[in-house]
Parts: sequence; structure tokens; C-alpha cells
Amino acid sequence: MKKVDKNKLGELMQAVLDAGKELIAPVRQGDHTAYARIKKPGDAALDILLTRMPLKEFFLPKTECLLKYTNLEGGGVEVSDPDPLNQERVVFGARPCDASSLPIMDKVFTWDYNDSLYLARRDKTTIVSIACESPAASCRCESVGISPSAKDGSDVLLTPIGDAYTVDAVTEKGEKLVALWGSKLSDASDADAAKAAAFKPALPGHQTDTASLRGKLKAKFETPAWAEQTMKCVGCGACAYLCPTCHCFDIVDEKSGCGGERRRNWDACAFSTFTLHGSGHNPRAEQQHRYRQRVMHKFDYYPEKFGPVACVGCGRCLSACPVGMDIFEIIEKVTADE
Amino acid sequence: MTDNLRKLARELLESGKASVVIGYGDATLPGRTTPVFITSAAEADRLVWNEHCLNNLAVYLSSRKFKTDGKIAIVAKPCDLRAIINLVQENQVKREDVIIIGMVCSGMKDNDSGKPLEKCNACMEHVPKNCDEIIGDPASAPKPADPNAEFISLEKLEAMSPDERWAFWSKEFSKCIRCYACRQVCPMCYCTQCIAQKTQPQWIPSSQTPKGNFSFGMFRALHSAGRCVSCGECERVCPVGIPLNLLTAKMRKEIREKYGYEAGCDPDAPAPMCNFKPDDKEDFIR
Repeated sequence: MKKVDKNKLGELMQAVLDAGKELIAPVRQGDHTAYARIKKPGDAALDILLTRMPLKEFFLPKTECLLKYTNLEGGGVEVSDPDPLNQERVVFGARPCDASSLPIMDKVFTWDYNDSLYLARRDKTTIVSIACESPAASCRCESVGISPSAKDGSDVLLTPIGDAYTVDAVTEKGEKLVALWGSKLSDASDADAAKAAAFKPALPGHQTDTASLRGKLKAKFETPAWAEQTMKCVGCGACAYLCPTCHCFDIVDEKSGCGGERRRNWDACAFSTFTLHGSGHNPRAEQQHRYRQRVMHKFDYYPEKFGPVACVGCGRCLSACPVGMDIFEIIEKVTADE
Repeated sequence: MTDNLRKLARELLESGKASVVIGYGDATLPGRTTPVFITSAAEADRLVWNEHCLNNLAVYLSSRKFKTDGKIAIVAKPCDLRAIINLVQENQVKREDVIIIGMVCSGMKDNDSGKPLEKCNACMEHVPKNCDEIIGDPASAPKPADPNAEFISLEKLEAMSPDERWAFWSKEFSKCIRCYACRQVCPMCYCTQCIAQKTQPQWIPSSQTPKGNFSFGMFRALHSAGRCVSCGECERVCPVGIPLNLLTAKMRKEIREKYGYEAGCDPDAPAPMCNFKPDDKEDFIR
């Protein structure tokens, strides 16, 4: 295992840029925070515990072109496909929860169809995560079996040990990056490794035992508690769009002059139009049905099909919800014995 | 005030005067509140009143209609109360169906920074009007701010050239994720079908592109003219921090200058965008 001084992270980022790779890191944009492409290490704001926007948009963009079409003079249509990403990228300073969302998304985009645009982005990107020293009141990672130093989804994990971080290459991609950094890193001692292994900051917020509660959800599908618990939901898409694992999208053709683009846009099950049929019928007629879908998809349908739950406990939906919905509280309430 | 509010809620529910009290309760995140719907006197103690009662609960009277057989009692800050009055004027709710519990309000604080909200620094109305019940001592309310205080933030924008303003809004709207939180919390956005969701034809691109984001932001601002009560909810809930209040403030300023009108302040004043007279000076409508 290697280690690096805390004040030398800028050098690691510079080495990424010098190697011709794109660098993505947490940044401040006024009062807003997000992951963004940066041109110099100084633009990274690694002190942000959790950016408002998740890492998702670098793999599933808010809007992306699936094909372009042009109506030709004299009839016929010319269609062209977009080129998949062909640029190596490094995300520096992801949080373990955000990194953990990527293997969850992978299962969806490789299940019945290999989504080449998504997979190219995954293939070209190396994720360097930094374990969280001071989790916030909204952090819920332990509610879903993740921890502030989880490795899943990361290629390299940096774990704080006093004035330094241990540098743990988790995957082959991670080993390549560690090799690129070379002498910028020093060897970690056994004592350093032991410190990193013992790193376990306490989460200040209430954690929900979703592992045992989620098995009860199916039987509670019709409980009136859904209506009570979701009455305040106003039906916006903030929770879904800020969620690192929500991956639903809509496909639209948008015209411009004699041609246009077929685009894939984020969509959200909280919207009343999400399941609205052409006939006017809506199988999820009320907001309670839409919110129930959100919970069931994450904690019942997805795990039933793929294993893990589709939630990494980042807590963005809790802190950004306009009306203070708490998905974990709702799981506790709807699964409670009547 | 919390004790008085709980006492009133108990009385309203026990006597059957109201079948539900919509108010604020403690949220799961420390220091925050969340909307609560109290339907029995035994639950009245869930109600709280503090400087984090941010939501404008009037949204539950309009776009997210609360279904009940009896009257709805609703806890309202003076700014939120204006939204209820405006909804009555726009025939979205009957005044006699609602019991308005007006709160004397000294201002609210931001959940994250703990600082007073900008709208509260510019507040002209700390004592509720047009309500059925008042909680709090009107004598303890802070003095009203200068009427132009709410437009101070506009000065910088108004001083910009059109190109600079274009650059400013391009940058801000590039962050928009089209979650529609601004629309969903707005008590005045109660259309059953929003033009942003129309697909045949598509008026506003649903893509998160400059064209789609701009069109959505602009049409929402225009629809707020003469109707926005400056509750500031759109800006508060925007998850990416777009200063939406600058757009609605500009509309409010125009309406004040042209018509001397403040939405939701006087239940009997005709709303400028919803009324016309045969002798109006404009002739396009004749």
C-alpha cells in the first residue's frame, strides 16, 4: 500500500492533467456544488463533504444525443450516430457513496442491452474516492450497508490517516493510475495500513436497518400508510435527479430546422406524466402511488433482480427535498406493524 | 406561539370546525421542519412554530389539493397568506372552505446557513391580514421594511447590458436539471397540464439544453406576473441554486409600477392580468 501527504493531492491531480487525461473533481459554482471538469487542481474543492449533484451525469448525462437526423432535399433521411467517449478521464475526490452507485447503474445498462454510450464512459473513467472524515446528519450510507470508507465502485480509495492518506488501488485501472503517480507516492508502513483499516467515523444521523425492513415491503404494498406518509410530496423530480442511482430516462425527438436529434433525457417517477398513457389513463394515479414506486424500485424490485438495493445512502434526497421527505423514515413507517 | 397554535388546532379539530390542520412539524433532519397534516386533536402536539417554518403550505390548497370533507385549517405566515388570498381570487379555493391561521412572523432562517432569508429582510408584512385566527402578538412584530427593499437585488441585473444579462442567465440556466421543483412548490402553478409537458405539439423542449431551460424559466416568470406573492419558495427549493427570485421580482416590480398592484394583499382589488375594462387604453382586445 502507498500513501500521500494531504497537501500533495494537487500534484496527483496535475499528474493526471499532464498525462493528457480529463480531470473531474468536486467544485463550487457560487453557492452550488457539483462535480465538474477542471483545468487546474486549484479549482477542485475537496473540502466539500458531498456535492449537491451526484457523479451520475458523467455517465448518464442530463440530456444526450442518441442520433442525429437530417431530412434530405428530394426525400430521404440521413441518420448519424454519436461517437462514444474516447477520452481517458479521472474523477478525483469522489465520495464512496457516489462511487458505489456506479456498479448499481452498470447492472441496469448491461442487463438486456449493452448501452455502448454508457459503457464507453465507464470504461474510460478511473474513479479516485476519498473516505469521509466528517459525515453529515443527512448521511445514511450505513442504512444500506455502505460505509464512509467503502471501496465498491472506486478504482483508488484514499483513506485519511492524520496528515496523509493511504492510497489503495482497488482495481486494475486503479493500479495503472497509482503507477502513473509513481514517486509522488511513498510506501505506507504497516502502522499506516492498520490506521486506515481502523478508520471508521461515526455517522451522526439515524440509520435505518433497511436490510431487514425491505423484505416486508411487498406485503405492505396496499397499506394506507403510503398515503399518510407521502401526503406532503409535491411531485417534483428533485429526489430522482439528485439521486446517484436513479437512472430512468425519456427518449424524445427534438426538431431543429430540417433535422433534429433523438435525445435521452432524465425522467422521474414522481412526475404525474411518467406513467400517463396516451388514452389519458394513469396507472399511478396519485402521488402516493408514484412515491411508492420510488421506494419499491430501490428497495424491492431492483434487489430482487440484481442483488443490492438501488440506494447508496448519500442523503441528497433528504437534504434537498422541498418538503422534507425522508425515504428511510417512510420505509420504517410503512413497514411498521399496524 | 407553538403552545397557542396547538391549543387552537385542538379546539378546531375537537369542535369539528376543521377536519384537518395543515401546519409544520419537526423534520427528521435536525433544525428543520416539514409540512404535517393533523386530523385529530390527539396529534396536535406535532405542530411546531419556529424560525425554520419555510414552506408555503398554500401549495396544498391548489396544485396538491388536500382531499377532505370538512374545512381545512392552514397555518400561514403573512407572505404565504397572500398566496391563499390570491388563490381565492383566482377561484381555486373557496374562502369559506378554509380557516386561515395567520402567524405573526419575525422572519425565517435558512436551513443550512442559519442566516435570515433575503425575503424576510425585505418583508413589509410581519402581521397577518385577511385571516380567521391570529397567533402571536402583533405588537412584538418587527417594523416593515422599505417597500423597495425587495427589489435591491434587481439593481445589479438591471444595470447590465442585454448581452451581460444574457450571459448571466445562460450560466444560471445551464445548471437547471428540469426537476420542476420550482413549479411544484408554487401555489400559483396549479395548471393540471403544464405547457412544459405538452408533447403534441411540444412547445418547450424537455431536454436540459439552453433552449429548453430558458424557455421553461421565461414562461414561468411571465406566468407569475401579477400573481407572484413573493413567498420565494421557487428559489428556496431550487436544488441547483438558480436565483429564480430575480425573475419573479422583476415581474412584481413591473406590476407595481404599472398597476400599483400587489398580488394577494387586497381580496377586493382586481388582478391586473385577469381583468379588463371596455375603456382600457390598449385596443388589442377589442
